[in-house]
Amino acid sequence: MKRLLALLLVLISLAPCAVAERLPDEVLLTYYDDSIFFGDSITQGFRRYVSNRQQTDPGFMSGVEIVCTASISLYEGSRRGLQTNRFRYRGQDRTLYQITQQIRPQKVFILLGLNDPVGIQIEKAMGWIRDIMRGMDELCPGVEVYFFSMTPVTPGYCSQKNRPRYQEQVDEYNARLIMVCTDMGAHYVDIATPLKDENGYLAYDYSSDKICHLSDEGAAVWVQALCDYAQEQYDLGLWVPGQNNAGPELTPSTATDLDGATPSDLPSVLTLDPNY
Amino acid sequence: MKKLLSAILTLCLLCACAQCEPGSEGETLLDRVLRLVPDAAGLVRMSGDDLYDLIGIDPESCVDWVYLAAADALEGRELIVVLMPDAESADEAETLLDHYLEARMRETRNYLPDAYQALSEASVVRQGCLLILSVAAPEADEAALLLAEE
Repeated sequence: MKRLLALLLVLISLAPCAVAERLPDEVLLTYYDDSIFFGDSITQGFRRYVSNRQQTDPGFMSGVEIVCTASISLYEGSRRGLQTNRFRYRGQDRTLYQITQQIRPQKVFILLGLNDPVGIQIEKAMGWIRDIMRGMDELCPGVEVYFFSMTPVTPGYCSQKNRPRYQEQVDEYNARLIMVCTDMGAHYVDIATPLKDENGYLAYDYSSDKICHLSDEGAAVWVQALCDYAQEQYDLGLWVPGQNNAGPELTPSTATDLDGATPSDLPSVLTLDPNY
Repeated sequence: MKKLLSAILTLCLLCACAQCEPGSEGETLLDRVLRLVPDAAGLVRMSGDDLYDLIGIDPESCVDWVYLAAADALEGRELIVVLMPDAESADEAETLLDHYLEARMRETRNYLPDAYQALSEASVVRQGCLLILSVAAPEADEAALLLAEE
């Protein structure tokens, strides 16, 4: 009897640790349907990778809009007016907020900071992150905002830029980003850790230029990190594949631009806003 | 009877030769590009969404289109060929391609010098309703080569 009770106790204690089913990658990637990925040259490489995969698999990440400008910084991306480096969508210069208003996604994912660079100005970067959250709350309410971790760099980047501690600074930035995301109601997606080698730098095999940009192998790791994140959401009961979550309704009263115009009224090129 | 059979055979041979001639009817822009552009087979075939989202040209508005780019986005190599249905839509497409070129130059100016150099040497070439933007081509006269087929 005692042995039976002991066995029952062991079984009960193990139950929560039972491995949840691992969903297929094509199901996990539907987590990102109706999303926008905003980024810089790193995301440009990812977009090219996606386009390449879509040649043989047209459905691969087909629910994601990827909007990127090679040289755009986190600062410029966070502004409500157009800056020198700006996003461009369907032939029009647009801010991150305007594009979000235009597309009306459920989720927005952001990977910016390489061009600032955020590692050497972490406090300012946190301020820009908060600016993005405030901008999204005001201009695109209801859209879930996700920040990707800054991707790692190689030792070659650190020496080329004469920033020997830069990878440590990127790690500090990511640690602070997690805190700000929690504080501001955003989500943090770690794509940095799986890209690192045993020394904590961007693995050379994952880098196209052996500096900071990703190769196809690196992009594949990014995709796998997306799958892992989606699996985590499923395991936590926060997401059910195939469940139709209607996107936010952006009514004219809630979706206003800086000057009150609705997206369709916006001129093709907006004047720069030097004071923002 | 023999003369009739010879005439039919000759006619069949002539038809077969007509199918093999370059620029024959039924050849798509992609066929033409793959035939004439040395590195085309190794470039990524960008989708209609890419054409629309990145450049602003709705693929549904084109008679035909090709958008190829290097697998490495940092390289700057691109080839865009669009055939529009009329002069007015060709004007709009030309403007969009010009703006796209300007935007690419702006983003690469102090960032990717090699890509910027290639973009600054590129321009939109038009013949009728056919427009070509060729960047960092291995053949300097790539656009002219494609237009010569018109």
